[in-house]
Amino acid sequence: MSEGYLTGIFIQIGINVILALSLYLPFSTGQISLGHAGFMAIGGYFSSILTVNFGFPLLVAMVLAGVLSCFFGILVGYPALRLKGIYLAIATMGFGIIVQIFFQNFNYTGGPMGFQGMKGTNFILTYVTAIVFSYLIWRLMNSRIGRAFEAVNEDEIAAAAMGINITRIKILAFSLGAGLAGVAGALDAHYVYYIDSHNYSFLRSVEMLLFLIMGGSQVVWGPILGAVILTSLPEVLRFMAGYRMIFYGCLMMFLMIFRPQGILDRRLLLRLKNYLVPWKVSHS
Amino acid sequence: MGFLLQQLINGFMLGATYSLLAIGYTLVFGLLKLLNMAHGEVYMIGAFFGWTIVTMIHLPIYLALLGAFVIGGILGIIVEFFCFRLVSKDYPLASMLSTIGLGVILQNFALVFSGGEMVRFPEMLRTSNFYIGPVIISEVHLVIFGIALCLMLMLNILIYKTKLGKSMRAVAEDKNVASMYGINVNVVTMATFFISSSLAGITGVLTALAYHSITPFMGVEQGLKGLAVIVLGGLGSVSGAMAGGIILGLSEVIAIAYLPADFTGYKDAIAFAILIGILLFKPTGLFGKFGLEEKV
Amino acid sequence: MRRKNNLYLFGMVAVVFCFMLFTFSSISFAQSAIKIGLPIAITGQLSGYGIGEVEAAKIAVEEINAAGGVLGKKLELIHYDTASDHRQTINIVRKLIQQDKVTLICGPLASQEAKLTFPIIEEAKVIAMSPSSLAPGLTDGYKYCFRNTAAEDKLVPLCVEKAKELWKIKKAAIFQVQDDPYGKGMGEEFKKSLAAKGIEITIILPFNQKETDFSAKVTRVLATKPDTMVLAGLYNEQSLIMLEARRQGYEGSFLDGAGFTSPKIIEIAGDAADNSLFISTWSMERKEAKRFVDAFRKNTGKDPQQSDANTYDIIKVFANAIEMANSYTDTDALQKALRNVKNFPGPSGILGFEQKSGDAIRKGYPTIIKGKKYILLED
Repeated sequence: MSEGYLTGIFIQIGINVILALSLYLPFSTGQISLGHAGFMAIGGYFSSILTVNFGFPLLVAMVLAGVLSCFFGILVGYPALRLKGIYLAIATMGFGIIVQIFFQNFNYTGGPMGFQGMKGTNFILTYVTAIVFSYLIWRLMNSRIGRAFEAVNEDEIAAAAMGINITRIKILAFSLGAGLAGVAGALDAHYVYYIDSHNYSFLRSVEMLLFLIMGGSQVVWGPILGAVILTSLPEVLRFMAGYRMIFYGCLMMFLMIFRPQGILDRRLLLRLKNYLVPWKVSHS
Repeated sequence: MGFLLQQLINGFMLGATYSLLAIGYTLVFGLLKLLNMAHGEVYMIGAFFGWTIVTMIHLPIYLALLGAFVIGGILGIIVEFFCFRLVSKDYPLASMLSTIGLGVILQNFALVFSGGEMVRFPEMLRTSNFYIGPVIISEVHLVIFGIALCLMLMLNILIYKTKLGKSMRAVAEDKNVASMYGINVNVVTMATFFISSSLAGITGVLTALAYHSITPFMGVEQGLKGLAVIVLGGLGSVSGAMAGGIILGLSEVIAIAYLPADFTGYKDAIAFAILIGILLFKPTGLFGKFGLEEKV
Repeated sequence: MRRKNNLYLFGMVAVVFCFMLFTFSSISFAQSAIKIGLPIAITGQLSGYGIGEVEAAKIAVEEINAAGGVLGKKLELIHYDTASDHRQTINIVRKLIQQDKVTLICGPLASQEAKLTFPIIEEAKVIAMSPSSLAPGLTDGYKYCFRNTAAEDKLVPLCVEKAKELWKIKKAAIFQVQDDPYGKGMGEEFKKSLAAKGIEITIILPFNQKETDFSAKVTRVLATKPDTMVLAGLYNEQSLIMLEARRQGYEGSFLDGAGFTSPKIIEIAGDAADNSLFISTWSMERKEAKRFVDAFRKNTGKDPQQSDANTYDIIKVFANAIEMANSYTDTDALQKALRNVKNFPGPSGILGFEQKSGDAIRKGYPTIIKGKKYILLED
């Protein structure tokens, strides 16, 4: 509560980094989720109940929230295996909205009046979590599993022919992504002190997607960059607060026309690496 | 009995607006496999434009309907150009994301214009009611229903009895083959977008007439429900959209009418439960032809 | 090739640095005026109340400053638009307390906003007084959080009594908003009062803010044949329900409290709002109100509504408390000074403040809407 205004911004950046990464995971296997706010909601509400109603410490609540969201990720991910591309997008969108409507009516968590009383998110907790996750995901993407993700993304049939268990890979990516969103939801809830269903709208899911798409959807650094830039931007653009969304909309359209892969794509990252670390041998 | 009948009338009217909106979605999807997420916002802008015509320029209501129709069409062309034609097809769902962006822009414009407030749409029709037995049908009901029916009829004629309609169906079937037959795919695409969005625009004014109020947020919810309708009816099927809309409208109203009072809040969930259910169990929808094998 | 890499790298680093710089620069500098925070929405669905409140506050501040200020200093309003968004409101209140370092807040506007921010304000020991939060029980137990409105649970029984007297109501239906504590609380109060006076409640239907299609719900309610309808919510939805009910042939009355005080109801619902009864704590006819009413009319071209008069008096009573306590930073002394107020001479008619809560003690005037006007019923 004694968080300064500036620290607050940094905490929001940290949370958004985790959210962007949570979308990145399924995206790297070719699965688009437009309903990730739903997983965030599950994590947010669950962790809040644990800390406020049952006195759990925040760290424990965060972990449990992540686990629960992960579980729901599996629940949703399984039937989603049958759906591809746009159908998956629509289905996940529907899921996100149903979660939102559920929490709007569910009286144990406050229903439309929302839930309050949480506190405890601070700078250190947020950044340690964000950095740990970033590192783990980076390691994951550079491992065999990460390459399996890429293979599934490129061509599922070929990947299956090579012996990759598509089902397990896709569910792994989807549920991990859901779990991450749940943890972010827990951090977010304990930062804003009050949550209601409007916190987890379709627009929220779109916002997360924007971090990923703008920053770069091909490499781990992409969503991180996207989250940093797009969270700090409103502060810089405070003078045009009313027109902020016009700016974001134009940004989205512009990106889709000229650079759909986002700012940071594989080629750019490689070039940067070459420049920054000339003594390291890099493979393309 | 009178109660049920009255609720059915309510349901049909609600359903008619859902249908009109869904038809637009399904036309574009059938043709291009593209989900135009700005559709709901075009609907909303149509309502605001109609309001401007009626309250600021003081022109009669049918000009407002016409105006919204035209503005919708123009917006449709903008969507076609910026979100579809210019966007590379290599990246998955780039077009759809672009339409989300455009939708956000439109919503922001409306927010600034209205100050975020609900805007009152004046009573444009004499509030006379017709009493048929136990049921009250107002003039508003009749007008909306009548216009909706006309529009759907005209659309049917267009698609099945005109050359343009034939071209549209051909391009929807197979773009490349159609162009080999000399059909100008670009023109057909533009026409489809125009028709789809102009329908959205005019539906906006119809809704404003029925419910007296417009807000910058009306597009989001209607738009999302419209998605549920086309999934229910079958992506790409116009008759599916019509039927699906009525079904959804009736379901929501029946829920309000008969669920225990405390649970009526869940009525909005019906649309999305249907959405997910259909996608999981009968992805082709009621009338649809498209299956799961679509990989964008 | 090298140069292009250079550019990209430096570009990105520079961009990140710029963000940091800009965010740092939003720290404000110390002032020599007495700052009063004003977290009031002038856009969004609360703007129907907020725009007037901001105007009223400005009028009060101008008057005070023209007369020499308070303790030799001028008053300064720090206004941020909450855009009727809860999270924004929380952020803005935090900003006012931590960055702008105010010790007095005129606001927040709505009960839900107050519910969320009062704990923060109380913990920071900052004085807050809301002009338009009417949810029953909102300020119970608070030391530093007040509101210049009476507790609605004292006014609702009056309303039901008057309705019984005017129209001999026997059956009532209730539309109760779910996502607003004022509306929800009012619904509960009406439930209690109606039952206590032996009036049958035929149905209680919930609704949410921003709903627009009430046709099915109104049909269901009218099927229970109520004599009167309680519309426990705020003006946007209330007007729509009124329009729909009249369209379906309803000829009875409507009941509520402060939701009806906004002239937007008349603007949107027009004649459909006839026979809407509520207990107002604001009367333009009072002679103490004349000067304020004239000033407000001159500035805005409109008549002030209840919340505007409340806001004006909040500023005035703050100034008064500062003088009494001889300080604008000792909030303990300030809250004591506020609670010592008796019969404050101002348009809103503050008789005093409660000891165990932060509610104001006010007189109630039964008011009815007829022919697109507010008509005070002589008591």
